Amino acid sequence: MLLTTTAISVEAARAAAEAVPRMDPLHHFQVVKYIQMAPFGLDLSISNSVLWMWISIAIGFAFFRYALRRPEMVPGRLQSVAESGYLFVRGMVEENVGRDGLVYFPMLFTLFFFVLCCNWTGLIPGSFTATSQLVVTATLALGVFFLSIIIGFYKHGLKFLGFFVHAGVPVLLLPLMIPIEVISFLARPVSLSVRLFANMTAGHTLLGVLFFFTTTLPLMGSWLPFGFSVILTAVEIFIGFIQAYIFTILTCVYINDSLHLHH
Amino acid sequence: MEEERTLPNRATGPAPGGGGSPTPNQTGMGLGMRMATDMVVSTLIGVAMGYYLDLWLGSSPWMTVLFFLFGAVAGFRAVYRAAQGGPLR
Repeated sequence: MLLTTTAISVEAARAAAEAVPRMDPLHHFQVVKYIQMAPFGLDLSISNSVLWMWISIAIGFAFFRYALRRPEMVPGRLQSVAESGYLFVRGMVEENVGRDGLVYFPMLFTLFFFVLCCNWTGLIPGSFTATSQLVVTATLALGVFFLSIIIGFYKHGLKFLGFFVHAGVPVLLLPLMIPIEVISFLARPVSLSVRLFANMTAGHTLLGVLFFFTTTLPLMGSWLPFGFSVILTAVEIFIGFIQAYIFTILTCVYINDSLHLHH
Repeated sequence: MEEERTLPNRATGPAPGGGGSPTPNQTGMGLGMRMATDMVVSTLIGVAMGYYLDLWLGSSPWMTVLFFLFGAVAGFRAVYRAAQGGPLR
């Protein structure tokens, strides 16, 4: 009697477990290749990550084209958004690099709006967040890193190596200071890429978990995770902006360090 | 290039847009995020460097220990600098 009931309950539990949707908050980070291609042994497949990067670029481009299609002296709504975006990045560059850093302004502007659009398009349900892939953020960060090295050597030649030696540090302390400086320098691209990637991944995973509970909990309980997911979406919009901002401003700081050796 | 070191922060000319718009750093959130990752990543980089130096030199575990300390110091210094130098540096 007891055996049969346990057997039945086990069966019931298994059936219930199969009926219940499985929680898989990491599912939307999977990279799916739409078109396979690998010319010259390079994997240049078109994946959902690539597709959404293209869409992000297209959205950013289309926004500025549309907002500034008929620029007026007294800007309309969209035009003033576009202009304040421009001024925001420009102010960032001037404040952190100086006027001679304005050469790099187009790149920094593109970088900011690329990261921003990738972060924000990732919030559309069913889309893919390109910046939640470490490969993408690491590529951007390494580009910035090598750019700062190239600028440093181009502007200062071998004197750029003095970057690792502070003025006024006693010679005895140099064996201690140089490894620390080198570690700080090498940590730059890693922290730049990991910060963006981790923030995007963490936020979207949390959203995934909350949406899962919203759809699976009975009506009495589901309003709570639903409310949280609404709030969290707003927070994610803010974080998407902040991360793009941090990425760009640190790029400014790195370029400034390479342009002006201030030790 | 030294003479072109312009702009001691908005002293010589107003940075357009830099005046009124609130920057996220003023909320401290961006600063906090920077500090958290900088500290962890510096330590990890130090440990990784020490580990591979150990593999190379066969001096296990001394380089790992030493470079862990270097990394930790670099991390703390990054936090200190970020906190000390105002919003940006």
